[in-house]
Parts: sequence; C-alpha cells; structure tokens
Amino acid sequence: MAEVAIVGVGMTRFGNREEDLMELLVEASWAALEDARATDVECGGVFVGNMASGLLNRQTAVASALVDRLGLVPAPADRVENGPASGGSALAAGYRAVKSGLSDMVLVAGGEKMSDAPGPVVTETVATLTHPRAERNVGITLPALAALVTRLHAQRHGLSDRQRLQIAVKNHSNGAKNPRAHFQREITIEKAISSPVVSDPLRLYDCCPRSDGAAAILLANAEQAESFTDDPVFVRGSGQASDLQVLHEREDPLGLPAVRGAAARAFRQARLEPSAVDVVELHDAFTILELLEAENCGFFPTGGYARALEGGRLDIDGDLPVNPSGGLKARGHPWGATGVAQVCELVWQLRGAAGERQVEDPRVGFACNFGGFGNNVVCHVLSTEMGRDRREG
Amino acid sequence: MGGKIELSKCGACGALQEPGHSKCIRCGATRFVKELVELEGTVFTYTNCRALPEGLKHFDQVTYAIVDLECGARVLGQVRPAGSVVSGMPVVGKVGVTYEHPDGRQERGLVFRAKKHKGDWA
Repeated sequence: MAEVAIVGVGMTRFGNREEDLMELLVEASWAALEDARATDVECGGVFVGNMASGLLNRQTAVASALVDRLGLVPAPADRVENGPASGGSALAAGYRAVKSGLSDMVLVAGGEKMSDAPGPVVTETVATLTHPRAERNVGITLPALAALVTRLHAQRHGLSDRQRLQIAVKNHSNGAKNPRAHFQREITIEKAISSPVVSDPLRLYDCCPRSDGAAAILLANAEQAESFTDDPVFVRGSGQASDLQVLHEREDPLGLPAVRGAAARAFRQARLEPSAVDVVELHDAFTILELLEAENCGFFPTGGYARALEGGRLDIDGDLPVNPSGGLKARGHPWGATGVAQVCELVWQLRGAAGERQVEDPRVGFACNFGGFGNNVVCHVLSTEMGRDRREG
Repeated sequence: MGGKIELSKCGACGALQEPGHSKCIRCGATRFVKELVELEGTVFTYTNCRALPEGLKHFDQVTYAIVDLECGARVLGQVRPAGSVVSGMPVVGKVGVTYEHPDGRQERGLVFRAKKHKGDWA
C-alpha cells in the first residue's frame, strides 16, 4: 500500500459570499493546486464533498462541473454526500484511491453555498438527514436534537450553561485570529449566556452559523510528494464508522459509538494513540458536540473535557489546542466544506504556517467530521512524519 | 387515557423497535411480529424549541421529548401544551397531526401530554 501525502491545500474565506457554489469550489481548488505548484499535472481523480446543492442551489453533478472548470478533464470526478461529513468522506475516498495505488494524485474539494436559501429552508434541508417517520414527521430540527442530548448530559454530569458556552467563547477567540473564518470577533461569556434561546438549554451561541465556502486538498503518493512541496503532511489514518440513524434508538444517546469507532480506526491505522496528538479539529456544530467528541475520541475521560476547558488546556497555547481555526462555531460550517477545511487547518498548523493562531511545534493532528446526527463519522490522523513501515522500509 | 401504536417486536429477543429494521438492533434476528402498545411512559429528555421549521411556525415554541414507554420502547414525540413537562414526568400519548407543510400536506406523529393534565391536547 502507498503512503499518502497532502501536497497542497486551499480554502476560501467562509461567511456570506457573493460567489456561487462553483466559483467557491474553483477558488479553493485552484489555491490547492497552486500551493502544490501542480496546476499543470494530470489528476487521477476528483472527489467533491457537497451535501445539498440540489436542494439549496438547484445544481447537481457538481463534481462534473468542477473538473471541467479546472481544466482537469478527463479525470474521473465524483460528488460524495455524507450529510455534514461530506467533506470528510470525500477525503476518505481520495485517500483510499491513493493508498490503494489506483491513483498517484487526487484532488479533494468540499463546498456549500447556503446563503442562497432562507434560514428556515436551510433548517429544513439539514433536517432531511433525520428519519422521515420517526423523527422528521414531528418537525424535529438538528438544534433540537442537540438540545435533547445537551439536557441529558447536564442531568447526568451536571454540565452548566456557563461551562458549555465557554466552548463558544474559546472558538470565537480562535476565529478572531483566522482571516478565513466566518466570524472574526471575540465574544464574552456574558454575551453567550444572554443570547436568545434556540431550543433550551441551547442558546444562539451554542450553534454554528450557516456559511458559504469551500476548501480543497491535493493528495499524492508520498514517493512523489517532494516534487510538489517542501512540507508534505502525511495522512496516517483514515477511519469511518456508522451508527443507528435514529437518536432515540441508540442504547445511550451520549455514547456516540460512531465517533469512537471512527477515531479508533484512524488511530489504529496510524499506529498512534490519542496522547500523541498535538492539535485537534472537532465538529462543534453545537457546543455539546465538541465536548462529546473529545471524550469519545479518547482525549479525555467522561467529565474531563469541562475541567480541561476551565484550566485553559484547550486554548491555542494549551497542551491540547482544540479548534484553533475557530471550529464550526466561528470559522463557519458550509456542510460539504467542513471536513476538508478541518484538515486544511491541520496542514497549516503542522507546516507551522497558521500565523497568529499557530500552535507551538505540532507534529500530529486529528480531525473529526460528524455526519448525520453522529451516525456516520469520519476521522483523520495527520503527521509531519511518514508511517513507521515506510520509514523502516 | 392514552392511545396505542403498533411497533415491531423482535421474534427472537422481544425488543420493541420503532422504526422498523431488517435486522433487530439488539440481537440481529430477522423475524418480527407486530405488537400494539400503550402510549404511556416517562420523559427521558426534552427540549422547548423556539427556532421552528416552516411547518410549525404558527407556534411560539414546540416541546420535543424522548419518552420511555412502559412497554420498554423509546420514542420521540411532541408534548402539548409546550413547556409543560420535565424529565422523569409521566406522560400519555396519541397519534396526531405534528407538522403542516406549506402546501397543506400534514405529517402525523406522536403527541404526548403530562399524565396528570386534564385539559385538551392543544
């Protein structure tokens, strides 16, 4: 099996953008190709993560359009859809293509243009990932599902509103240092706690915004990486796992076995433990998810995340910085782009190129992209060093 | 008095499940029978939702709850009147209209109310 390197990354600014979906995807993809000095190379495949262009933008077959716009014809091109983890799944598909030896170079892009549709339409669109006869028929929304879980966590473990919203304060502080983030301003805990209730106990600042944006990554067989970049970052592990679709059918709605399974697979493949990780990007579509993912990925025991947050350990200068990009809360969450953007951030961090939000000397990064409502999750482990087999070989 | 709904019951382990599956989510068996169960139980967790989708915009808020039925199944429904329950509260339920699409189509689902509530289901 081949080793897989990331040789180029690119990302648009997230937020309310004038450009249409295809223009955003082209901007990010071209930036990734230029980053690798690879605008003239032949691409073995293009994988595009996108959740809802058919519903929001009346545009389908976005991968076919992108490969044409980039001048990459006749490269095979596929759209990959896994709800809010479409980007992570696109990266996993690209990774498998290179890892298997079927392709030497693959472009992975992810994008979404959400501001074309009014807020309630976006809310209804994302709710289409729920079960039509057991969840959606009662009008459940994703924030309401997150609120059910948040209340359950508060009942069992005593998590307060102040503790939970500290996650939003941290991520806004990080987003203020990220020139590509949707929100580039800090917030106070008082502002977060007094923000309007969305679905109690969740408040506005518990929830990520709807954003436009795109991100892209160029993957290459590691043997060719040095011809594209002086700073390759290696994909050491790619894990994915699923769970029951309906939240209330799961044995423990706080357990997130798909998160645990995806993370365990990624770490096993990487031959690394969570303790080896220096920087983390998690899928904080709602504040409670950052906490649950961190604990279920193995970074903290149950109840350990809130304590670590209060002690500043998760800040950019802490011992395990989480969401230095600002996370979904501040960087933004264009569904199809998020999983790719998380990995772009890790690459900048591992290259030492993250500017004001740079974590000190990271070697290993981890990303978790949360699809469905936790029922199809994709995790990746990245490193500045190649896998052990390769180095010894 | 609450209403009743028909659930799938695993022919091997007896686990009740809604919605149905090809394989039992507890034991993996593939044979099911239908069982009519009472909609009585207790609130497992709940939320009062104020940011509502189009089909519920005529409400100020809607309460959603996961309910543990006495028969052992766990289900999701709305609670009426909104804001009237807390976790652990006994509830009774029925099947009713739970969502109205802008084009007039209606969705039906589970609607609960506190067991001690004596008013109507509005």
